[in-house]
Parts: sequence; structure tokens; C-alpha cells
Amino acid sequence: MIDWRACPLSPTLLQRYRYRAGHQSCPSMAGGHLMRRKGAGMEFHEYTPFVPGDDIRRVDWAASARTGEEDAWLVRRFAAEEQTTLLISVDLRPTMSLPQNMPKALIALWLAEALAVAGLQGGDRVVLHRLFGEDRRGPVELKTPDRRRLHAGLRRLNEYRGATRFNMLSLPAFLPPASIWVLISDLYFPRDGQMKHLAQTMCSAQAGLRWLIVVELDTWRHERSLLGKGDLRLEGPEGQNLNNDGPERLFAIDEQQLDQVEARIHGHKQQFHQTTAHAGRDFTNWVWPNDANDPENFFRDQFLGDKLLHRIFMREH
Amino acid sequence: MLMAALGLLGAVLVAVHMAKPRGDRRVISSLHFFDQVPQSVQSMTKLQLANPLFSLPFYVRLALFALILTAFIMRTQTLDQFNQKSMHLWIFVDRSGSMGADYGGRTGMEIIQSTYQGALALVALQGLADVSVGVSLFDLEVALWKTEEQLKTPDGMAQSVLEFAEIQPRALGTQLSLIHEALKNAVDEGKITHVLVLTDQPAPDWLASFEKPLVVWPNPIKQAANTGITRIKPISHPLTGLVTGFELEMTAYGPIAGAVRLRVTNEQGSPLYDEDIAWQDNGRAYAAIPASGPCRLQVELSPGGAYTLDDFAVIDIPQGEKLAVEWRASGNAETWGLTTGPSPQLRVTHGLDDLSQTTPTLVVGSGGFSDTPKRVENFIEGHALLDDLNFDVLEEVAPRGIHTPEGWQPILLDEDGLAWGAIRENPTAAWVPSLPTGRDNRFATTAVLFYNAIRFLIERGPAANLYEQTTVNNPIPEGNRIPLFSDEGNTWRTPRPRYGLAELRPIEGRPTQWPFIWLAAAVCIMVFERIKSASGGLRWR
Repeated sequence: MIDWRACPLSPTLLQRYRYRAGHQSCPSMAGGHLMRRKGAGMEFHEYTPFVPGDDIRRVDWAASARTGEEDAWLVRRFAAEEQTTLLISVDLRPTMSLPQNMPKALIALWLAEALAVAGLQGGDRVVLHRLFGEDRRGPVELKTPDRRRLHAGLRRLNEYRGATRFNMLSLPAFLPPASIWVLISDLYFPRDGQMKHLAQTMCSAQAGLRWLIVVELDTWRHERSLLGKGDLRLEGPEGQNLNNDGPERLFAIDEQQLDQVEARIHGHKQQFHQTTAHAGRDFTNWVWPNDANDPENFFRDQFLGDKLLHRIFMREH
Repeated sequence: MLMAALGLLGAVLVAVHMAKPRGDRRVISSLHFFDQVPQSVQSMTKLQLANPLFSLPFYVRLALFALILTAFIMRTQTLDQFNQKSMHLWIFVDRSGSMGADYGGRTGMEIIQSTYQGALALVALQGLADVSVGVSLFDLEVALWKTEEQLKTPDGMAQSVLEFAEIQPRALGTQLSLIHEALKNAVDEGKITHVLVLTDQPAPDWLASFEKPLVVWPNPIKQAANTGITRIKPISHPLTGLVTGFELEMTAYGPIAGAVRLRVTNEQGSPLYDEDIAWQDNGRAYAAIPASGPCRLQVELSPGGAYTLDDFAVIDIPQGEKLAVEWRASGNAETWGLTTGPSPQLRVTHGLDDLSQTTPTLVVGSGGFSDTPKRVENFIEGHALLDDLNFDVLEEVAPRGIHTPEGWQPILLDEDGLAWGAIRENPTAAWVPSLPTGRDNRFATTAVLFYNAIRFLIERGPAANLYEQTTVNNPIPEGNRIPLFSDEGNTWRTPRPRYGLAELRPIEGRPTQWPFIWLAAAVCIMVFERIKSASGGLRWR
């Protein structure tokens, strides 16, 4: 469990993000990915305050005048898009609680929050799911943009207590056809039968025209920079060491050793990709910079610059 | 034992800093992938045979260790110093004239003899392992009487008690500042632990400034009434300086039981003065006795009181019908009522640079007068050189003045800035325009200036010595050598002791210098080190 705090992107910014994406389309979409289609009717949904980026043509001047306030423009919102389910699975195992100055779990929860806010503002159904560990209450299902409920759900996700089993039992019920499944992880999970189980789940999801997106949080470059060289005592999350909690080992770290570790990490991730290759999924990689110490700016830059995630909210022609 | 423990602590400190660096700690999420990285070979041993790591933490801990070590060493030394059974006593015995005074049937020396004996007995009875006693006598000087070696054994102490009775007061005064100096020396040397002062003088206030050595001033001598001669002053002729008599000052210390008679006799025993003394309210009395020399006179007070050395005086009245001068001027001394002799009181000369450091010199000018009157331009009002001088006559006479050389001070200047009279301080001299010369106003003017100058110089010359003072080198009264010391005859002082003989024991109690300051500094450094250790991690090692 990390010291969670709310996403640094404001709902207004995320609304702009979604609307900009909603006005874009991607004709070159390949594969059997689900895309939002324009709805049959332009059914009025609600008025919202005008924010920069809104289409000026959607301002309801008469309604705005009735408020009696200058610059208080009201924009008509329409339930035009086809509602979809956005399942966000967040890996919150102990490795995600690092690096200490910019934990992966924090970025993952912010990403989940940002996607959820953007999705809920568009009328999507959002399901927050913890990828590992038992969760007797099941995933958090949200249908309205209620920030209080959203934050409560994120806090629930953050209440992780050590178990490393995949939490897949109730997942099919939240993955109806034409839904989007975003999986956020550092992919450091163990190589055992559970990875196969995840691959099977991903394949069956793909079979139902579900769009799978894997967001990999990659901190190796940062951690390699952090390590440097020389004799080091290495400690993992929650005070783990490699000597089964015995006396600390002292490692002689050099470039060669680091290259070998990097190759092992790469191999581990490759195995995951190979296992899930036939599931068909899109993949985006968020790489921690060497001097990662400003999570807010890092998240802002990564999220707003990630074109794959942007496509979640685009509409198909 | 304690030192061994501290030594072990120091060795551990060095060994800790000979330990190999334990490696920086890194917390990473990819730890799982390091399972195949070999363990550092260096980590197999904990220590390395090398110089300690001379880092800032090492020096901080070294300083901490040094402070603790210093504190305990100081504590040990201080305790040793105060725990050891030792006493180093120095006794100062007053043998000035007043110690021979009669204090109720016993002299001061006899009274302090028993105190001295008691002090030695007290020291001997304590059976101290390390003890030394030394004795000095003092009056106007401090003289060693018994060394520490002489008083080292009980026999030596007993012998000194016997010999103490042989100490005779000297006809000298008392100088307590010598004790002050001796105490300061004892403080500097640091060995003396106790000082015993045996005297008839009360304990002075400055003793409070001496904490160590412990000064015991029992002051066992009680008061006794006394009357005595306290000052003898010659009476001189105002012009010639010749002694025409003497003045006596007498002082009564304590109550005056009855009439005290002053008797002055010549060598033949004939009384020149024989009267009861009329005391003033302040206990003083004065008598002026006319006498013409040369002659030797005896002065006696009867009854004289407890202190006898101030009851008698022998004084010599010097010869002198005429003022004796050393004549170096033109003419001869007799012309002007003067005489020449072997002990001149004045020199008369013409040379402004013919001066003497010992005898005042009168320089007379070459004479001569101006043809026309001259105004007195400036003068020092009331100066002795100008007594009875008529300025109107002087301006008319207008003697020939001079420009005063360096070192001379003009007393009277004419309108041309020339001096008609001048003096100088060192050597003592005076200048006048001429010997008495001319007629009428000229003679009168030059004579007034001439004799005024003589009188001025005679007053500045050495006073006539009617008696000699006993000294350290000549302490025995003989002839006109008398022990006339200020206040020595005051036997009526209120006794003021400081501590008693019971204080002559090894000083016990807490050490005065406890190493708290060192320990406090050590605690500060330790807190600093611990804070840095808690916050600095492996970098602070």
C-alpha cells in the first residue's frame, strides 16, 4: 500500500482531453479492435460549463444568458457516443510501491483515476480492478462521474496486503463484449502458471471483441541509474532481501552485472509478451527517467502524450 | 580498571573504523532479478588491516572519546589530590617591635609561642603520611627561620618550640604586604596547603581573596593601652633653614590611665622641657621644643604604656648660627650674612649650567640696570620669589634680565620678555639678576630678590635629620637611631582572627574541579553524532 493521493490532473483538464479525443477519429485503426461509433441520435444529455477546447458551436447562448452571469457559458452535452465498459486492472504488488520517490503504484492509480474520470464523463461504465490479491468485495463498478465514489474505489484498490495471486475469478462478468480492458503493471510478476492463467483470460477477452491495452510501467533505467557501481546492499520492497530475510548480502555491482540483470528483465517481459501474443493487445510503455523525482509532471507528460490511451476516447468513422 | 576499560573502548573505536564499508543500501523493485548476481567477495570478512577510515565521523567519535578520557583523568587526579592525607604548612611569625609589647603580663612573642607550639602539636598528632612545616620570620622583611627539613621529625618540631623562645622582636615596623606577596607565591607554587600567621596585627581584608592555601590567622593577642611618640619634626628658620627646635607628635592608643609626662633633657641631664601632656580628643598631642644646636637631646614619655620602643627618642640638633653655603660667586659669603662650611645647604654661583643634583643652587646674574624704566609685563602671582617686592620700584630700577634657557621657568618678565627672576625644578635652582648691589632702591630690590631666592631654595632643600630610623640592616636602637615607625605602637587594635588552629587539617570535601564541563561537551558531541548517524545512514560511518 502506498501513500495515495488524488490524480494531479483536474477533472476539467480530463474533460478537455476526452472531448478532444471525441472529435478525432482514427481511420487507420487496424485489427479487430473495438472503436466507438457515432450514435444513431444526438440525444441531449446535460449542460456543463464551457472549458477551453469545447466546440464553440455547442454553446447554448440562450441557456447561458439565463444564468445572468457574463462568461458563464453553458455547453450542451449529448449522449452521442455509444456507452462502453472500461475495465482498468491495476497491478499493486509490492514491487509497484517503488521507486521510493516516484512509486509505480502511485502513477498506476493516477492513470486509473484519469481514465476513469474521462470515461465516466463520457458516460462509460468504469470498473476498477486489482490485478493481484484477494478482493472479496470484487471490482469497483462506477457509472457516474462521482469523484467521492471514485476516490473511495481507488483507496480500496490501494488496500493491498501482500498476496500475489491473480485476481481473475470475477473478471468475466465485468468484461462484456466490446469493452476495453486496460492493464497497468510493471510486468515483474512471477513466472509461473498464473501468467498462463492471465494469458488465457486475455485471449478469451480478445475473443469477445474486447480491446486489450497493456500499460507497462518501466523503472529499470531509473533504478539502474540509482544503483551506480560498487559494493551495495540491495533491498526490495517491504524490506525484502535475497537471502530469505537472513543477513544482508553485499553485491559487487558493475556494468556487466547490470547488463545481465537488464537482459533477465527483458527476458522475463518477453516471456509475458510471447505468452499473451495470440491474445492480441496494444502495448504502451511508460519509462521512468533517470532522475525521476517529480511524479506530477511525469504523469502529466506521459498521460497527455500517450497516443494509444488517447485512442480509447476516439470515435470510429 | 577504569583506564583499562577506556583503553578497550578506544581500541573498539579504532577497530570499528577499520571495518570495511558495508556498502550503500539501495531499495529497488527489480531486486528479484538480482538473484544470480554473485555476492561481493569483500563482504566475506568484516575487518581490513588498514588505517582507520579517517572520516569526519571518525574524528567526531575520537573527540567524544578524548573528552570522556580527559574527564575521567581529571576526576582521578582531582580525587587523588584531595584524598591523599597530606598537609604542607608554612608559618609566618611576626617579630616586629610591637611583638615585644606587654600584653597583660606577657609579651606578644610569648603569647604566640604557645600558639606555635599548639599548631605543631596538632600537625604531629594527625599522623599524616605527607606533611611538611616551614617557618619564616617577618617584620620589614621575610626571613627563613626553619626549613621543611628541620621540622620534618617530631624531634625537629620539639626543638623548634624550644628555640622559638629565643626569637627576639626587632625594633622595626610591620609590613603585612610581605605576607600578601608570600601568599601569592605560595599560590603560584601550589604546594603549600596551609599558612599560619602569628602576629599581633588583625587579619586584613585581602585574605578573603585567598582560597588556597588556607590562611589561618588566629590573632591571639589582646588589646593593651599605649602612648608613644609617633612623629618628630624639626622646626627651621624660615629664611636660613637653620633648626631652631623640634615638634613632637604623640599618640595615645586606648584609654589613658593617668597623666603622661613628657621630659626633654640634654646630654647633661638638664631638663629642657618637663610637662604633662595635654591630649586632644583624637588621642593626639603636640609639643614644640625650642633648641639650638649642636646638641643631643633625650625625649621620654612616662609612663609609656605597653609598647616601650616609642617612649624614648634621642635626637641631634645640628649646629647653625649662619646658613652654610658653597660660594662660587664673586665676593664672599660673609658679605651677605652667610658662611661656608663642610655641609652646605645651598650653592651660590654665576653659571646657569653650574647646577648640582643634591644641593639647591642659586644662580646670580652679572648685574646691571637699564637706563630707562621698564614695565613688568608678566609674573606668577604669589610666588615666593616675589614676596615683599614692590613692582613700582622694580619697574623703575629695571635690572638686566635674561632669556631663560631650556628647563628654566620665568617668574617675572619685563616688557621685552626678559626674565628678572626664574626657577627650575630638577635640579633645584633659582636665578636672580644680581647679588644685592647699588644703592637705595636698586639695593633694596636686588636684596629682596636675592634673599627671596635663598629662602625659596632652603625650603626645597633636604630637611635636617634629627634622628636615624632603625633599618633591616641596623635594627638595634643606638645613639640617635630610633624605631619610629608609623602605627607600630598601636597595641589597641581590635583582634580580628580568621580561622583557628582547628583548621590545620587536610582539606576534605568535594573536589573543586569536577570535570562536568568535559562531560557536558562529550554529551553534546554524542547527541550530534547520534543525530547524524540516524539521519546520515551509511554515509556517516
